[in-house]
Amino acid sequence: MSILKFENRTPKALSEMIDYLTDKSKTTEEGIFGIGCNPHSVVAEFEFVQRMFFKENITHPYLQIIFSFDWGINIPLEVTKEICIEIAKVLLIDSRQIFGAIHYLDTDHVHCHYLLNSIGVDGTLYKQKYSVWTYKKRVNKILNRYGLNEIKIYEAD
Amino acid sequence: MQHSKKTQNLHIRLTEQQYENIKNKATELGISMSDYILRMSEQGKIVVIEPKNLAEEIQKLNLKLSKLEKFPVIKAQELRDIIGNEIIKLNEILKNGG
Repeated sequence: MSILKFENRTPKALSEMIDYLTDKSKTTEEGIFGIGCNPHSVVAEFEFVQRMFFKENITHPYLQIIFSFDWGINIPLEVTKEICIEIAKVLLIDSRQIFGAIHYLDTDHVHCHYLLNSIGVDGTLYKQKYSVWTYKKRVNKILNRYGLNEIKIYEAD
Repeated sequence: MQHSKKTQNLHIRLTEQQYENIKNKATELGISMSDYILRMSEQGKIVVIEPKNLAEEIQKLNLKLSKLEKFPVIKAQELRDIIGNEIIKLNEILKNGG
């Protein structure tokens, strides 16, 4: 079973979080990506947008979402990345930057961490537009196309 | 992430003109009056980055360049890094007060 989880905490500062997500023991250069931002300079690019709109001191500078593939999947990294980018596009509902890091090294539980900038490039604060149920439905459509196990949808979603 | 809690209040008396001045400047910048006063007191100035659609333009450029990554003949990531390095420098300048 695949899992999609919206984290409501920001336990680490943005730079610490990026250091953790890009840890060489968890991913590689090929396992990271950015939509609307350069994965190599993501901290500065997120902060630049926040400074531009005087929001550099906000309590939650990013939102973290985690997508986990089913246990033990065996697909090439190139395809995994393609799926993760498609999912990122589902999560990206407005003009906002998103960074992704696929943790696939030394694990049977391949998963992708997404960080969305809390401040959009138009200065707006992130608001979850749809219910988790809707996001899961949309992600499941992608997973179905690749013949992968779906995310379980609960009534409470 | 640790943030210092704001536990203190400050009530100040202002003339109508002073109040309007602060209100107008804060509105122009898109920040609250408290934020305006705190920034001016801590930094002595507020650096405004213009044009306001700069962030949007950089994002669009990044999107276009990432689409070109599948064509190895175009060094799209190198171009993204050039932009990224400039943003890093700019961000450092802003961090140090502009």
